[in-house]
Amino acid sequence: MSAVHIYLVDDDEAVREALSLLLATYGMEVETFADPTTFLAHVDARQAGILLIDLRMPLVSGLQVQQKLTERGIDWPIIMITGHGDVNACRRAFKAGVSDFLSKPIDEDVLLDAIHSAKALLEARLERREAADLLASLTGREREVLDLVCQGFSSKDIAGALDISARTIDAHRANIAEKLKTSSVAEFVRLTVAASR
Amino acid sequence: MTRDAHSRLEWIAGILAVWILCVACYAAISANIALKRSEAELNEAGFLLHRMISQRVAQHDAHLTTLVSLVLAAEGGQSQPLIQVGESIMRFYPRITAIHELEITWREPSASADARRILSIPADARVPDDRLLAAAVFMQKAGEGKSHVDASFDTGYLLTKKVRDSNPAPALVLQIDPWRLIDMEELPNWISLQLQLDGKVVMQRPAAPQGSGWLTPPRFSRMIDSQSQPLLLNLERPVSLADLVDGAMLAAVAAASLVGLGLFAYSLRNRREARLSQGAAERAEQRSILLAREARLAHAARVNSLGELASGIAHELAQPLTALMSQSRAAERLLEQSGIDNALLKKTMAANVREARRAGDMLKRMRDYISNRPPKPVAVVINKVVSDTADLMRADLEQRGITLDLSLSGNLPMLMADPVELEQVFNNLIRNAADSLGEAGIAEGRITIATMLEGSRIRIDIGDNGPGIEEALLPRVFETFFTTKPDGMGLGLALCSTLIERVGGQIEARNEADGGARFTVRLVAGPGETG
Repeated sequence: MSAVHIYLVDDDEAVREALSLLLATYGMEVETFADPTTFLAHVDARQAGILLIDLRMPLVSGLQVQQKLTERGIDWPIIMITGHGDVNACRRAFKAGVSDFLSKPIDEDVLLDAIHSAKALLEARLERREAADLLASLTGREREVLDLVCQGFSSKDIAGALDISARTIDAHRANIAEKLKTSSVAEFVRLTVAASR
Repeated sequence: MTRDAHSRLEWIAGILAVWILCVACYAAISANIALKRSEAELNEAGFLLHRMISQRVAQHDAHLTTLVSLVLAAEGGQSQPLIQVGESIMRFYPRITAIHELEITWREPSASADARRILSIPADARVPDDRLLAAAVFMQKAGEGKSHVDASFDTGYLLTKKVRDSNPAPALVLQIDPWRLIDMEELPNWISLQLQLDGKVVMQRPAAPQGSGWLTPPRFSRMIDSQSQPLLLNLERPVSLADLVDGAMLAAVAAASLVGLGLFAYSLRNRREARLSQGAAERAEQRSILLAREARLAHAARVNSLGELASGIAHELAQPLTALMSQSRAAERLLEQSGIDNALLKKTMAANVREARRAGDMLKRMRDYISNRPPKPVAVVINKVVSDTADLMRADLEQRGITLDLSLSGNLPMLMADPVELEQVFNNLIRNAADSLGEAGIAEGRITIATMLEGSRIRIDIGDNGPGIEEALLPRVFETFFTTKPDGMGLGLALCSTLIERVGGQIEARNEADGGARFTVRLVAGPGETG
């Protein structure tokens, strides 16, 4: 499992310590916060991660954390933990945006599963954003050419369809390969699919 | 005397009073009718008598005229025809008891008159010996008849006529017995009869029955139609109560009305008692409904408090268990990664993990049991729940000198919830407010509950005029086991929050600007999702 950054917010110090220790044995980076306020004050939007938040915490509820993160354009997966076990109430409270609900005491396997799913979600989101960013750097004509390439047309076919010379098409393809940092058609397809997800 | 017996006596006295009034009314009306009837009878008899007497006295005038003409014819000689006619008149009319021919001489110097008998029929009849009478007769116009009451006579009156205006003047006197003017045998004995002449009673016959002095008897009074004999006929019908009111009839009416009234009173009383007992039954039913609700609330409070307690304990224990389990698992993994092969250490660590997990499973089962109690949401009218709760607590609050004000907004939509759980929430919030008012020693404690619509949600505010909640504690009031009460468990508000959140609502606490705490509950209106 590749390194994943985990933000753990829990008001119980013993829980923070134990969970971060356990997750560290799996090679995860765990950053702990005693309360949501501190977390919100220190979080870095560039350092993407998974949030592990205890719902029933004073001052700012988990709901509000989620809302505040959304306001800052952060859509990292959130795993809610509740000591009360009223998972139904939590599910109702968070209609969307929360990838999992766990109740304490947390079973290690369940926690790891949840982290795996959240990690996949996070990676997919990052990939999509990356792909979208790359595709956004293309010009309109380049994007047109890319779509046709992905559909399996040859440069000659595309030149005929767009009514321009095959040489111009090749120039566009070179630019596309440079901007997307790959010349593989398979990679082109992966990027467009990821961006449209 | 018991209250009941007293009211029973009053009741009977009332019935008797009504009865007496009824009987008296009947007696008065029937007496009035009887009085009218006897008056009519008297009038009828009176008119008959009046006509008869008028006819008879008119006969006297005719006789006197006949006799005067005989006197004039016999002047200076024969008086035989006068005597013969006079005797025959007296035979046919025995009420004329005597006929006198007098010669009245006026004596100017003494301005008086003497009467000298010329003849009398019967011959030995006593001549009225009265100078005043003689003078009066002398003053009459010749041929004019006039009646006099002679003081020297016991009864009867004298009908006189001067024959000629001369001095001495001849005059005729008829002596009349008024008793024989009337057929006494035919006169009903209930009539009291009197004949007057010039204000003097010339005959009088009292009625046989005695009247009651205090009743004004029916009367009949009329002048006889005669110039010469202006008699006044006075009739009276003495009446007594016995005449007016038929005793037997009255008794029958009294008895019948007593029975009727008795029956009426009995049915009235029965109806009233039925109404009273119906009222009592309704009150008892209401009381039992209230008691049942109290019991239901108490039961829900126990069950939910137990749930909250268990849930609170579970939460508190879950924290160290999570730490323990995670630490042990971490240690296990570190042991593996470090390559140390210590079977005993591994076994110990595994045991730690196992036991922690066992405790965790136990907590989970407990929590599942609690949270799996399915809420039973039904359509709820929030104002009814609020006022039901208020009804349940009002008496207790009044005893503590606290006023409970409701300000319920009309036209609130229904919502889906368990009404008993909502009642429990309001009950807890009101009790908390009352306790805080009591602790602070507020003299005129006041708790206000207001319901209102807020967008698509229903908002219920429960406020008090107490000291409010210490600002630093405000964020923690809904935490399980958090309490400021020396003997509190810190479950009440936590439970409120659990129950409200379970139906998708929210609860918050704040202090009002002018002091006093306010709890606000917001519930989703309409038949929305309730989980």
